[in-house]
This record gives sequence, C-alpha cells and structure tokens, in this order.
Amino acid sequence: MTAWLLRRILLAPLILFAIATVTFALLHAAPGGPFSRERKLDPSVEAELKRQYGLDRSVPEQYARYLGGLLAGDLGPSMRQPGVRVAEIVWPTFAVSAWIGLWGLLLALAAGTALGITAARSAGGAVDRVLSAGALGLMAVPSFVAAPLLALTLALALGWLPVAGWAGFWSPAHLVLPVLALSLPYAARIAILARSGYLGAADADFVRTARAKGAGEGRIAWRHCLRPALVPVAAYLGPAAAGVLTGSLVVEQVFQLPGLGGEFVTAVTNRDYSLVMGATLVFGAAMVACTIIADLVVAALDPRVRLA
Amino acid sequence: MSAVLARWDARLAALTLLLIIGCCAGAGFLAEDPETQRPWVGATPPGSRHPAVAATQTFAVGQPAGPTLDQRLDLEVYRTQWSRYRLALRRGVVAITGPDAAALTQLDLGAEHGRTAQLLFPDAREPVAAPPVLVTAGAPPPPGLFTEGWRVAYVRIAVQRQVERWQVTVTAGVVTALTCDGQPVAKAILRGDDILRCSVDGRERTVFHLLGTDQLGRDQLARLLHGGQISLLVALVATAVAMLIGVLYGAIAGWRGGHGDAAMMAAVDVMSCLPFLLLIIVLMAVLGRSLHWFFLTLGAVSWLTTARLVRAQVMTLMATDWVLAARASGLPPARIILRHLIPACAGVIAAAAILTVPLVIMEESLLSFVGLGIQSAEGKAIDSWGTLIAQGMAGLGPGGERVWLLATPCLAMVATLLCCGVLGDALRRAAEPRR
Repeated sequence: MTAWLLRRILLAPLILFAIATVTFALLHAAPGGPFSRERKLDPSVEAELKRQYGLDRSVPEQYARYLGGLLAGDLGPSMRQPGVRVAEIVWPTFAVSAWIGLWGLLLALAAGTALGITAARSAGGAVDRVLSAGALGLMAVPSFVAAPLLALTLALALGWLPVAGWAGFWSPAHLVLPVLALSLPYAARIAILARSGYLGAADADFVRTARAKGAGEGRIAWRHCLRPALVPVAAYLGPAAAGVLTGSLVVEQVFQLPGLGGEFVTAVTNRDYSLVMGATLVFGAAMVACTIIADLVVAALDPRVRLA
Repeated sequence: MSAVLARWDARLAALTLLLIIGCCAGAGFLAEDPETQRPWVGATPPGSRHPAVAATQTFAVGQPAGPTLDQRLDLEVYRTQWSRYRLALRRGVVAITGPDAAALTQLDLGAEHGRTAQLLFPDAREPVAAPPVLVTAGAPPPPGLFTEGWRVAYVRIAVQRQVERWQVTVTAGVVTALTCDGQPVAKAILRGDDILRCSVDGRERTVFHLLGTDQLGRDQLARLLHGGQISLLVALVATAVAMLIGVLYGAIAGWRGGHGDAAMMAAVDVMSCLPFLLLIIVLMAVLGRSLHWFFLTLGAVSWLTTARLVRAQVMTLMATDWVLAARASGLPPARIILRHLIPACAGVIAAAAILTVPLVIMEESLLSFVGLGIQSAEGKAIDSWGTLIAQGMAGLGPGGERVWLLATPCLAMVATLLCCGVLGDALRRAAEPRR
C-alpha cells in the first residue's frame, strides 16, 4: 500500500513532465508568438521584449530554463500581462475552478449514488424505470447545454438565483447554478453505475448468506450492498474529475466566473506561452491527484484490489 | 441487428437518428434560393412570415438591383418618426425634457396602436421596449426606467407610423423607375424591418420562418441544418479515426496478453485522466482550426473506451478453439487479428462506435462553444451546433425574449446525443452474451 502510493506519487511528476514537454513543443511549433499582433511592433522593441522574456534564445535552451524554473516552483512571468507572474494569475483562478469542481463532483457523487441505489432497490418497478430513463436522458445533456438552459429557467424566468457572477467562495446563491450545470451529466452517469453495481452485488453469495442469517433488508442494503455498489462509482471518479475540470471551461464562461478555464482560453488565443503552460500544468496536476485519490478509494472499498 | 431493434426505444432512436442525419444531409443539396434566402434585420420568433426582401435594400435609378433581372416591385413600407425624450433623476424625482428641449409634466410610455416606446439605456447597444407606465415629472420614477448607477435615461417614442407605397421597376437588372406614393424619387434606402408587404410583378412574396430568424435575420432552421451537417460530419469521421486506433490498439493488447497487455492498458488508464481537451485547444491554436485537423485530433483522443471494450472481447476470444486452430495452423498474427479476431468483435465495435459519436459531438461543440470552433481555409468560422448554442446564449436578450435561438440547437443536440446513447446501449446489450 505505502509502496504503491509512493510509486504513484513518484510517477506523477513524470506525467506532469510529459504534459509540460508536449505543451511546450506544441506552443513553440506554432507560427507567431506572444508579441506578434496585428500592428507590427518596432523591431528593436520586439527584440527587447523577446530578450526580456528569454525568447531570443534557442528553443532547447528556453525549455531547459523553463524546467529549471518549474523545479524551483516558479511558473515564470506572464508574457502578455507585463509585471504579473503566472502564479499570481493561476492559483487564485484555479481556486475558483477547483471550488466549483469540488462541489460539482460531491453533488454528482451524492445525488448519483442515492438515486442509483434507489432505482436498484426497486429494480424493474416504476421508480426504477423513471429514474433510469431520467439518467439516460440527463447523460445526453452536456454542461454547455445545461448551463444556459438552467440560467434561462431558474435565473431569468423565475428569478430565484442570480444569472451570473461571482461573489466569493461563501456565496451559495452564485454557486448553485454553476455547480448544478457541472454535475448533472456526471450525476446521471454515476446513478447508472451505482445502479448496476448495486444490482451486481445484490445477486452475490454474501448477500444470500446475510439474508439467511436473518438480516433485515435495510441492513443488507446499507451494510452489505452499498460498498460493492460504490466500486464502479469510485473507479469512474478519475475520468469524472477530468470531465468536471474541462467542463468548468464552459461553465465559467456561461456564468462569468473568474476561473482558470476562461484564463486558459484567453491565454491560448493571446499566445501567452507561460500562462498556457502554467494553466495546463495546474489542471494536469489536479487530474493526476484526482486519479490517485480515486485509486485509493477503490482499494479502500474493494478488498480484492491489492495496491502492490 | 433484429435483436438490437427489438425494443421500441432502440427502434425509435434509430429512426430519429436517421431522420436527423437525413435532414441535415439533405440541407446540403438545397440550392440557395435568392428570393427566399435573404437576410433580415432583427430576430423574429418561430412561425413568422416576412415579405421576401433583403435586409437593407438600396435602390437608385440607373444602378443595378441585385440578382433580379426584370421585375416590378411593389413595397409597402412603414415610415417611422421617432421623438426623443430625456429623463433625468434629480434628488429622487424625475425631470422630463421633450424633443424641443422643453420641460414636460407627463410622459405616457404605454404602447398603443401605431405607437411604441423604447428605452435607450446608456450602457445597452440596442433599444429595449419601455415598460407601459406613466412618468410624472417631480415624482419618484416607476421601476425599470433607470439602470443602476445611471441618472439619465433616454426614451424614444415612435409616432405616426405612416405607410408609404414604393414602386421599383427593374429592367435588365437596372433600376429604371422609382416612385414613392406616386412621386418619382432618385434613391431609396429601405430597412427590411420596416417593409410591411412586398409583391413582385403583382404576386405577393413572403418567406415563412418555421423556427424564426436570428439577430442577423438568417433563417434559424437553415442554420440548424447546416450546423448539424458540420457537427455530424465531424462526429462520423472523427469516430472512424477513433475506431481505427482503438480497435487496433485493443486487439493488439488483447492478443499479446501478459506484461505487454498490462503496460498498454496502464497507458490507457493514465491517458483517460489527462487534460486532453486542453491539449486539443493548444493544438488547434497551433495547427489552425480546419476541418481535417478536427477529424484527426478529436479522433486521436476518443479511442480509449473502444480499446478497452475490444481488448476485453479479444481476451475472451483468445480462449476459443478456433483461435487456437488459427494459431496452430501457423497464420501470422497480423492475419489472425485482422481476419479473425476483429471481425468477431463486430458487435462490440458497433456499440463502441455509436457510443463514441456523442463523445465527439460534445467535444467539438465544447470547442465551438468556447470560441475555438472550426474555421474554413480563409479563417471564416464554420458554425456547428456548439456555435449556435453559444450564439443563442449571447443573443438571448435582457429578459430572455429570444429563447428559440438557444432552445432549438440545444434540442437538436440533446436529441442526437440521446438517440446515440439509447442505440449504443441496445447494441452493447446485444453484443454481450447473456451470462
């Protein structure tokens, strides 16, 4: 277990290194740079700017310098926002994205599992049919469809919630819509996974044994079936986290949140090399962390999984 | 196949999907009719009817008149006169200034026949309909007149919407005569919004917009079908690319087994948790956003599930006698994989393919939605459903008046994704033998 965790944690920088290398190579293969705009800059000014940001050096040298900075925990200066370090942009905006993503993921987990198990417990009945059909339908509603439709109905038409905006981490009214839009498709997927996991467990021998021992249905459901039902859900956590983080790109745009996704899109169109690198690395690190956590949860839930 | 379509929901999904694909593909063969496909100013709701005249028509005697050759156009045009009022908020009470700078005591903003009032907020680009209230000078203002932080509002009231009758005679593509209410005029600029009726050579011309038009006056149904063409084309080709990679990768992993398989599948696991969409966005900025790059890049990141499914199927097939026989007869591995194993996975591959289609549609739409959609070689944006959704959201209007611009592309996309999901589910169930 410890050895496994150690290996995964040692592997994580390697994955991040690969992401950094690929992104760096892609960015530097692109024609144009952070200082090529519609209006041509004065050559001497451009040369000075390039010298200042180290862009006048050879690409391998720039790469080595960037990696050196990374090892020291420095994401470098932003190339389009003079005087601003990438870290100053990336971390506060990432906090917003992560906050919304976290709540979205938690809501998807809680609602998805609860609904999936409710459906499974009445398998074949009316409740199951309605919930299963609803989950299948919701899975077909991506975040960028759900977000504007939710804003239109709950905010514009009914006026229950603010249409958009950000009012700090502890302003639930502004959080409800983005979190809801982000979590709906994943909640649906998790409900389907939890339902099939629960049904798979309900047929198992240990459930029959429990029933033979005289355990009540409620006890069987919560003590015996819940854990195996959660295994496929936990295994889906990694991809779900990846999806929620990319989904935040859209949700932040719709609800005008100061998150990292919006920052990333502007940085790509502006060719702000260092900011793109920083944002990609932070997103990548978050996803790698989520995968490790998901693997740990699976191992904790399923005694058959050995982390060796 | 019959086993797949036995359930009514799968049958319905297949039919709907065929219908959507057929409609979108069919729209490509429709020739553009210059008399009906003309832009209009302003968005009009679904089911609206319009005289078939271009947005802003400029007619001048002796000048060419668009695509028409020999025609007599009879137009009925509203002539609107706007009078502008200034409302100022001083110490909590309103002061009204009329068009001739005179102070007024009352201003009725209620709409009557032929009389409309519009508010021009200082921070809004287009005028909005004014609330039907009576504004009294020296009294607190009724709600809705002043936006927060502004102490001045402008109201314009259209009065006396007179109808003018224009007649345009076009001979050999050149305007030869132009009259307004019988008086000859040298030049006319007519706004499409103001044109009430239009008849060509005595025949009434109207265009019916089943789903309304967008702010630029383009027919929403036509845009929906053309957007669907792009979305579906990308989905189908990128899925084919994903299938090519995923099936080969999965088959090879399943064939190798052991450590090779473990390594290949570990790589898939790692990849499924990578921020691929971010890399695609960077890639799009690098390579340019042409259609074939979308095919390749979206295909190149959507094959992971396919590889897993195919590998699992190949693993079970490897234990069968006929694969053993094929191996014993000394067939080269490539031949066994291509001729025996992959065809035996056809059911799984079909299910994987139809489940990849919605994935790709979502990815492409997400890119379009954040403004990084497909562009033509000249750098012009090619609208897909994702673009339409983004534009529909941007063009909703302050109170969400133009819902149809958002609802129609959302509906089309959700219907397609849902059909693919249902069909894929049925295919997967049919491919899995009963335990």
